[in-house]
Amino acid sequence: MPIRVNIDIMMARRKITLGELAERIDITPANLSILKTGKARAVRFSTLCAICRELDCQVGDILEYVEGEEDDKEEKESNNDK
Amino acid sequence: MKKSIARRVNILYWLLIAVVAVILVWQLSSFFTGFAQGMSLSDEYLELHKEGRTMYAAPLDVKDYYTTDGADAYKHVITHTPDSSITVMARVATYGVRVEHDENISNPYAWMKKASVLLMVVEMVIYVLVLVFLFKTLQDIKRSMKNGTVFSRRVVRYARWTGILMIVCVVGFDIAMWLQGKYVLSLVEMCDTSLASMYMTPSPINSMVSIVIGLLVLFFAEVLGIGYDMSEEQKLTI
Repeated sequence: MPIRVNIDIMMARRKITLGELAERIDITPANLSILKTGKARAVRFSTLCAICRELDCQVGDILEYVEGEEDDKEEKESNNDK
Repeated sequence: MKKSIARRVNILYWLLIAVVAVILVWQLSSFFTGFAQGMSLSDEYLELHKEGRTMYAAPLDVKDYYTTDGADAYKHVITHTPDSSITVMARVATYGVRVEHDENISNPYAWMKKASVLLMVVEMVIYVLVLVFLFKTLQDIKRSMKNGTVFSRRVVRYARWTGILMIVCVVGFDIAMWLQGKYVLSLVEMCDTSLASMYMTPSPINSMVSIVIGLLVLFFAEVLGIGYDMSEEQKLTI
């Protein structure tokens, strides 16, 4: 996915664990882990808002656009077409 | 999931099961009737074989059935009242033709007989598979709905295979019937060319409705696939 999620960097800076952050923003640790590992397909504004509030950061601190990184799914589909 | 939707799906599910069950029972009863006829035919077949002969049967369509019309087309007087105030006539669209011949006659179309028998056996197996996949698809949809989801990769796969096998089954049967008819027509031609010219083999693609249903099922499978992708995307929306 061309959007990289740097939530683990912010979590380390704020010294907060995955479980604690998940509890504070009212999502399951499993879902937060999906977000952290970059497997999420989409993020709600409400979730972003809650994360930024708890980690005291901006959206740009957690999400980064990286040119050239293809989406896994799109890569598989383009390989299948070939 | 809304209770009203679940109830409607449940009703449709059981209606579909009931209709398929009725069709199966009807087909099984035809099968057993045909089986009994087949047993008596096989005795006849053995008797002929002892004399060095064999037999084969197939339906043949009457050619001019589709070109003639009006009262002249109804050539066969079935019955009428004593005062002829009512006359019942009929026209024949298809004859069940049976040919007996020596086993060692040379016929360039003999391969068609074997091919049609083989194809029939294969298509019967595919027909059973169609029913199996259809039931598995419905069962899986019902199970998925109980778990709160409608879409699963397995349902998409079963639905896709149901559609493909339905089309293959119908086309295969039609081709087998066409091969049968062609073989019998070739034997009739060897006896009387002008008589053979009055008949034709059944059209190879007779069951267009079943093909359309198969295509609809395939389309439905693709829509289910899109639904599955969307639900997976939704699950990965944090």
